[in-house]
Amino acid sequence: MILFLARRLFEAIAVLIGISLVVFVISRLSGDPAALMLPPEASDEDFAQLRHEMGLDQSLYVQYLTFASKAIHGDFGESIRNFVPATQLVVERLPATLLLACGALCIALTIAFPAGIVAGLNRGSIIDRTVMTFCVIGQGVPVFWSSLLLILFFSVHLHVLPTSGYGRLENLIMPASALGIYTAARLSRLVRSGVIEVASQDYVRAAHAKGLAVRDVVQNYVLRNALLPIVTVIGLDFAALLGGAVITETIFAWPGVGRLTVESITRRDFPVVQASVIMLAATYVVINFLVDIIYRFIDPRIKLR
Amino acid sequence: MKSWTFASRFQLPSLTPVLATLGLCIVAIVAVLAPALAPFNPNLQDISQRLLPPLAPGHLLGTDQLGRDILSRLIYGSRISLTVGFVSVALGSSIGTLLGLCAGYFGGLVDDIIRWLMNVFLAFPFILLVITVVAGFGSSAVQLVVILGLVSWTDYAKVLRAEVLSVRERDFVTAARSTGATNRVLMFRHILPNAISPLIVLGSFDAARLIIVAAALDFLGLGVPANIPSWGSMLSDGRAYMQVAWWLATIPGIAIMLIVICLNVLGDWLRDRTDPRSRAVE
Repeated sequence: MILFLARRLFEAIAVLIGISLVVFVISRLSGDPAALMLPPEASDEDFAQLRHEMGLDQSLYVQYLTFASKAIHGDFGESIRNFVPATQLVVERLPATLLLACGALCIALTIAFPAGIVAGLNRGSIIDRTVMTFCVIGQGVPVFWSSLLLILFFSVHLHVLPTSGYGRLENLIMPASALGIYTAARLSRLVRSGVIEVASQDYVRAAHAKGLAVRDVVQNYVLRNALLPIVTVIGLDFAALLGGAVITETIFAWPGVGRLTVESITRRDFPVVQASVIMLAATYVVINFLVDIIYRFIDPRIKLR
Repeated sequence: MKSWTFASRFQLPSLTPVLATLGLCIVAIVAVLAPALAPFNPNLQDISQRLLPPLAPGHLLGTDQLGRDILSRLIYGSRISLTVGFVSVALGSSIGTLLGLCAGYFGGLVDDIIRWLMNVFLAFPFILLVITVVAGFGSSAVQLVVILGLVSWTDYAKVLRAEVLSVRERDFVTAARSTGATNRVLMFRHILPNAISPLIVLGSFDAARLIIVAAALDFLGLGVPANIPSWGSMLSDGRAYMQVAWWLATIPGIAIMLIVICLNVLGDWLRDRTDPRSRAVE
């Protein structure tokens, strides 16, 4: 057990180092940060001085170590535009992103579990076909387009929901639905295949054979075993929602990390971009790590490697 | 416990994969023949004809805020989506195939390093990674296609690695090895052909994903330059005129949705054909 934890922890840390390397390489390949900070009419001396202050005249290796050691302490430098620590900007935006991801996940789970279970238990039926058709469509609609359609319908035509904004429940409904529907389509298919797979296992047949009520078999044998693997997927979907809400946040003017990143990119405010990309990626690694461990605790059949 | 019936074999009527293939062929033909098919130059502006609704005389799908013909822009816009769908996927799958094959075949340190790279790339929210790279390196159409290919290799490597791990233990590989086949021959002639079928399925889904991501970049104004018509930028134009002209944002969205659904349906069908186990489940 200890060995397993140590191994996973080592892997997670290795991945975190890799993430910082990738971001560092991208930031250095894409141009001289000093050139972005100075006005075009700056003299060569100004330029050299700023490069020295920023440590850009040192070897790449030293630059990376400085970058990494600061990053560990959550220091990604100051925003070039606001002169506020980049980390602070990102942290301020985190609650909105978390709220949106939670809302989307709630909607996805409310749809996906009943739909997937009913479809899986009645495979081949008209309900199953309908659910699957909706899944195919739900996965095919790009989130930015469904967002626009929602706005067109609920805000422009019906005037029941605000087009954008933050702070009240009405503001959350449309962005969370746009994101949630896509996740729901993916999850329902997984729930459905899980249910179908478990329903054909010998122990389920045995339960039927010994005369248990169908309801009991479904509740205690099929669902318990079918839904276990879904836990992993839900964890990863949540992580994906945190980082994947860029477009939705932009469309609905939702003050989350994704929108901050896009704004910072258009303003060429790279410390903020680095901070948010690294923090989102690190969140993914942490969630992945936790899900992995939790899963091994709740499913004793999984061998510890 | 339901018995295995003929009807339950198909999640959708078997007509759908045929329709999906047909749909993709039509899009491909339209993209290739765009100059011949488009009634107007897609960038031709005519302010006197702006914001005409669909079915207006001369403009089947109407015009946008600058009086450009939407049908022509839609036809030309298919080019960038298809290029992304084919070229980026070809690039990403080639890189993924090579790395996945090496990781699975050699194992040990090679495997550790490639798996590490894979986990690093998987940790980034895909769209944010693409946006960051594109913002850093600029985005001509060529750059965009290459960047999408370069960052989308992970799934291929992951799937192929798992497949190679099982194929390399099979008897015919041992037999080939005992006749003195070199690593290269074993990897590319014996293992790869027997491990590659899941990648074809993945390619179909990945094309759908990359088309959406490319459209999303265009939508954010970070994609291909504005003089190239693209479905994403048409959507983004339409966003500002939603109150007065619903068709601007609706029509390109339908185009994206249809091509993505076609690719997904094709992917499902291919998976059912190549993986009998998933057919029993799906």
